[in-house]
Amino acid sequence: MTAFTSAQDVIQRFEAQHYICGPDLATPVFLMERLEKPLLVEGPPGVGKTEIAKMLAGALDRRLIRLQCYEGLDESKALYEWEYTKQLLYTQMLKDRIGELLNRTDTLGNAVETLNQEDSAFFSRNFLLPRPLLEAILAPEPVVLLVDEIDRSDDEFESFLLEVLSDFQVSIPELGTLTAARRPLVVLTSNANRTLSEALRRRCLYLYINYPSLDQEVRIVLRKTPGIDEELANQVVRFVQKIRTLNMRKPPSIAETIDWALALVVLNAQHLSRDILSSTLNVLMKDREDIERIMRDGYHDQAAG
Amino acid sequence: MIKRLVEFARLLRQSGVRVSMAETLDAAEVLRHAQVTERPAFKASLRATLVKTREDIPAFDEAFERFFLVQVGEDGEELDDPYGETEGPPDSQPDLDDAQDDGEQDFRPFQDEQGEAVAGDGEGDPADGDETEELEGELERMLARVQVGEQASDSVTEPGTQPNQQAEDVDLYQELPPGDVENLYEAVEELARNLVTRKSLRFRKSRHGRVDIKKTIQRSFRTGNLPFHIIYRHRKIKKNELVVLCDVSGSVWEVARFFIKLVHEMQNQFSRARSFLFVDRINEVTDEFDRRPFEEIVEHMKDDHALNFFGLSDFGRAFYQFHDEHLLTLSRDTVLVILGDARTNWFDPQDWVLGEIKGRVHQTIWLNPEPVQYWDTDDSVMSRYSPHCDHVLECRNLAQLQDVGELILRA
Repeated sequence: MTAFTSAQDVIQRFEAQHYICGPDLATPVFLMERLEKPLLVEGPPGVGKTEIAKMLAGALDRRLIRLQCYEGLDESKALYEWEYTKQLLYTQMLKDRIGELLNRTDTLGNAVETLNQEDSAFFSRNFLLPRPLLEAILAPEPVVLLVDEIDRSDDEFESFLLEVLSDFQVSIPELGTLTAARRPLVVLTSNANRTLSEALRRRCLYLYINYPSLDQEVRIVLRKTPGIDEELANQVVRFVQKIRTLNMRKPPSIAETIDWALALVVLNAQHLSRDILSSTLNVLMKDREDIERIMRDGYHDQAAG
Repeated sequence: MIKRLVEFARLLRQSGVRVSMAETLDAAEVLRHAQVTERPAFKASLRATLVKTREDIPAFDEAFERFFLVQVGEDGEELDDPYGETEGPPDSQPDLDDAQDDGEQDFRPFQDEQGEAVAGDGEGDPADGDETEELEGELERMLARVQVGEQASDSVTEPGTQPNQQAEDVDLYQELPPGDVENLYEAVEELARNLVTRKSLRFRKSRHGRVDIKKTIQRSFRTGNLPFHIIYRHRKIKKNELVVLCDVSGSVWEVARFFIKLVHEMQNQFSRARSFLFVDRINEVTDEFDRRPFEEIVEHMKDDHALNFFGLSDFGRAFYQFHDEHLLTLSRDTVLVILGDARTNWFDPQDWVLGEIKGRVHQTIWLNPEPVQYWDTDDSVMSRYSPHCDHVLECRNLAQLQDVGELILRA
């Protein structure tokens, strides 16, 4: 599909995929595509950071390549690895051919020399196991690269990523330098577990997403929950937004709001009541203490009433 | 347009937002490429390029409203020429006007050069060329001069624009103005980042293990004596558990908050980091730190009568309670850090508790925010406790805090 024409276009195409957003979110997305710059998305868990990359891939009809970061992630898991096993297997199977080849040589030195010439057969792309980063660089068509939860990786990986993101080329000693045919669109997400380096921030466009406003979340719930009554959707969202202000151990995400709304629809609930709340709250809240606190303090009365 | 943008970037810097030259160029690029004519989109574009942390967003919003003050009332049009040469109403940018007296003359001609440089560059790739770096350096120098001038004239200190050069020497053991505290927090964050990077380099070494010949050969029996799977001998790095016991009576908490901040920034370097605050009784606040800033927690403690916040600190009693309730949770992987002035108010120090704890934990570190020469004067019983600690350190400025951080990570 064609590139975005404006931020408005982004909003529309995202909405076509049931992702509701405003110009605050659409503008940076539009700009990142236009300027081919990475986009760094920060925000609390469950506000749809990762979703942006998926929507972007969907809207532009591009493949999504995902790199999930974790502590201890290193180049060999993010970039490429040689397939030792395959190399060994091939050596074994080609034993005869290699023997034949070496039969023609008289000295050991010559044999080494001859083998050396065949080096490239074993260190070729056939034996290269591309990991997400290399995959994104090698892809013939433009792709969307999602680097998820970058704040979980180590600082050194972050610096390494910086290098890759700046020119989208990688040097592999045995193969030379590989450059991206088409620059991938890169979306980085972070939960701010760790402060990211200035250098990385400088190279990216920045977007902070917060929980959606009441109206927006109601629209999201209505869109994602077929058959829900508008009144109930309103109640649900008001309740959830109230909970988010209460300093819970694990505040409910948008996805959980939707799950809860779905559960209420399945149970044929017309409106929130204490009974329904106590039987379905575990869909919304995933922490025992939080649930107890809500039931005890009776926030349901305020929200439902 | 470039002129306006550079001015705006400068205003942002004055309000404490770090904006680099490259980012300003990005913003210019954005405005050129994307024909943004509506105010919200214009604002969002600038925000995406100039602001890179959540904390800076409010400052940006405020600066934006001040700088791009537009006459909305006149014809309903919001912003027909957002980056034209139209100067905003003079009262919209008091800071810039103040600066004009001394620094601005130096600053003006440079802006023109800058505008040309970018415009002449055709595509204007913001990332390339020494030119940009040169310009950046130039701009920094200019800014420095402007600021020196400003400070000389009205001696206003601006948070964020000053480098934290002297931050290392600032005495933390005193009441600090809020602006300084912010700066110091930033310095502590950076400190933590540096410490953690060094630590992760050590991690990296351990990740590339040596080949384990024995296991590789054993494994190769399965594959007809061919070593298909090479097995590495990984050096195991185990993470320590950190337990912080923090006296928050009197002015000790002035230092404590920076230490706690440091611990918080480094917490993923430990398998677990638990924190206890005490005056004469201990109170576990491990979970609280994830949710609230330290000041708020201390405020909260003041209201909690059970804690007796305004009481006299009683190390002996707090230690005894810790011994009672938490001794069994300590292990050989635990690094115990105690922060306090060891002033027991003549209560029984109960130093035997530390002796017992010492036998259970990996290391005990005592940090005392008082200058060494005051230790053991009056009711300070530092020397009663110190035999039971592996390290006893004075901790009252960032340089010392750094040493402490290193010590803890190495432990």
